[in-house]
Formats: sequence, C-alpha cells, structure tokens
Amino acid sequence: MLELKDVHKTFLKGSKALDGVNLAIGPGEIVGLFGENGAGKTTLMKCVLGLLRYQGTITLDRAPITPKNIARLSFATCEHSYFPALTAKAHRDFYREHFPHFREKRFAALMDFFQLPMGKAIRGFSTGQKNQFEVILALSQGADYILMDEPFAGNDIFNREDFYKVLLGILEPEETILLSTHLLEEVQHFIGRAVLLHQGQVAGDVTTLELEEQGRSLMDFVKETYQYKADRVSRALGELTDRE
Amino acid sequence: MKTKWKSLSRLFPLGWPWENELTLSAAAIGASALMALCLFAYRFGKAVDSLYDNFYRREPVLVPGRLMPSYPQVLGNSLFLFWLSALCFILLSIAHFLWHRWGSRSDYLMRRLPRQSELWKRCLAGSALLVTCTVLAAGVLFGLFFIWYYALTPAGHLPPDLWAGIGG
Repeated sequence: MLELKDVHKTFLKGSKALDGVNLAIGPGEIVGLFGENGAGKTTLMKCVLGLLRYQGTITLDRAPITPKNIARLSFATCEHSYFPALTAKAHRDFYREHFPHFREKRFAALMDFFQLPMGKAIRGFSTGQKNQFEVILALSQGADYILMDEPFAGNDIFNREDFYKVLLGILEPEETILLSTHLLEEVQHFIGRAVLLHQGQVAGDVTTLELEEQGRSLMDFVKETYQYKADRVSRALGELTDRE
Repeated sequence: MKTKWKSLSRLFPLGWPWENELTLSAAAIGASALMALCLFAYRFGKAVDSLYDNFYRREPVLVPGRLMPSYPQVLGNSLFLFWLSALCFILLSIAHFLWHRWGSRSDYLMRRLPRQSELWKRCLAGSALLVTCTVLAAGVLFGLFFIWYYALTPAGHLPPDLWAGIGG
C-alpha cells in the first residue's frame, strides 16, 4: 500500500504545489491522476519518488521510502529519464545491474512489440519511440508501483491505444499503476479509479465502478468536481461580440 | 587489459564520451609537464648564470660567495599549468552532473537507484581520478626538478636553506 498522509509541498517562491494530500493506493490498482495544469500531479509523483522534499508522510507498506525499497517504485515521465546517448541494450544492462527484479523477458517482448532497435542510441529515436522506450523501462524495472507522468505526450492515437491494450495484457495482479494524464476519455476504460487534484488538494476520488453504477462518465465527474461552467465560452464570446 | 580499461567507464556518467575526456586530459597533463620542464630549465639556467661573472672575460668564472636562489624561488610558477588543469578537472564534475540534464532528466533515474551513491560516483570519481593523476605528475616533476637543482648547481653555491620561500 502506498500511503500519503497530509503531504505538503511549498516551492521556494512560496507557491503551494501540494496542500495536505491524503491518498492510499493499494496493490493491483490502476489509478488515473487528473487535474488542470499546475494542480500538483507531477509534484505529487516527484515527492513519492523522493525527487522533491516535502512535509508530511509517504510510506510504502508502512515503511518510509528509502534506498531499501525505492526499487519497488518506477517512473515514466514525459521529461524522459533515460540516457539519450545510450542504446536500449546498454539501458537493459544498467537496469539489470541496479534493479534486482528487472523483467528481462518483458523488456524484450515490449521492445519487440514496438519494434524498437536495441543497438541504436535513444537520441536517434522518434518522439513516439522515445515515449515508448521510457514506458518500457518503467514497466520492466520490476517495480510494484509504476508511476507514469503524461507518458504518451506526443504519441499518436493508435500508438496510445496499443499501449493501453499492452498494459492491460501484461500487468500482473500485484502491479499498481498511477497514471497522470489529461486524456480522460481515452483512459477511462483502462483505469479502475480516478483521483482528481485541484490546487494541490484531492478534490475527488472515485472508482470507475461507482461511476458506472451512477451512470456517469469520467468526464461528467471531472466537470462536476471542478464545477465546470459549460456556458462560459459562449458567454465570453457573447461579451466580446457585444463590445465590438 | 581491455576489460580493465572499459571498467573505467563506471567512473563517468553513462553515455559520456569518457575515452575522449581521458585522452584530452592526458594531453593536458603532458602539455603541463612540457611547459613545466621548459620553464624550470629556463629559470634554472638563469639562476646558474647569475653565479658566473663573464663581464670582460672570455670564459665565465664562478664568483665565490654567490649563492643560488632557494629551490622554491627557482621553481617559481613552473607548475602552474598543472594547477590550472586540476581546476579544469574539478570543474568537469559539474559538467558530469549537467550531462544528466542534457536531452533528458536521467538524474531522476540516478536519484532513485537503490545504490544512492551511483550518481555522485559517476559525477565525481572521474574528476577525482584526473585530479589525482595531475597532482601525482606535478609531485613527480617537483621531485625530479629538485634532484636536477641539487645535482647540477655548482658545488659550494647551494644556499644554506634550500627551501626558503615556502609558505611566503
């Protein structure tokens, strides 16, 4: 269980990125993390991974996250965390050396599925291939909790669809995904739970089963939670037109 | 031998052109040694010349009572290129760190490795090795130059305090 208790993060300029986040994610869950730009999604993931300092408590199976258990977490980020000058083969060797549960078979199968070359430096890959490789590394690390921050930014729709299917096909029951994305409609059938962040706080937390029972879509839920005013565009346009 | 050489790559960031760095660093240390040799030879020659009186004479003659400057004074700034090289090697560790933010954020991966020292090892170890080699090379030349100074100074013209001038 990954637990966040009263997690706060304030940046040097004084802006609050996380403002008392409480969240618990159990093994095997596939959780979508949603929110507007600046809601705190990336900050939350970086705090979990220890890449940012924070106030509050983050534990993994009730133990603080330290070098002893950090390998149980993996991270795929749209900023990319691979080495551009290295080949896929060199990455595999490095991961194999540093992560005791590296899934070599899964790595090979995914590289094969996406037809990525093993001997070419990653900087020579296309944008889509780079994203694929980033996600492949996160999925192959052998982690129990896989954190993904906008991993498909720049990938085309077919590519993304392929990935959702592959993900659902390869994940083992104990593997947990925390996926941050703006592609609500695309992932709504892939996730089991949606967590909404707004101004650094958890504004909504619902399972897709609950939504189905209520006959609501994920988009409806998000709009309601954010109190989205559907007429704001037409009103703004109307005001602009009147002025002219 | 080849495996041992390759294992040096572990002292540098992943994907970093470490072989080029080592080649260029060896060239920098070599150039520092050559520069030190030329400077010391020039300064030593000038100091020895000052022991002779060749004014109005065909053959220069050693002037009794004239003494060589102390070794640190003769050495002067002959080794300065070594210190400059060492400073560059120290600054290289910053470049090693920034490499992890060039084109991607591989520092994220390095910082979440179970072996937490890996990032710092790869940023600092290569530089530390080069600084050590530089200091060692400077130390060896310091010793050789002293032997040169001691052995080639005309007998009876060494100063009473060979090390005068160290520490200001």
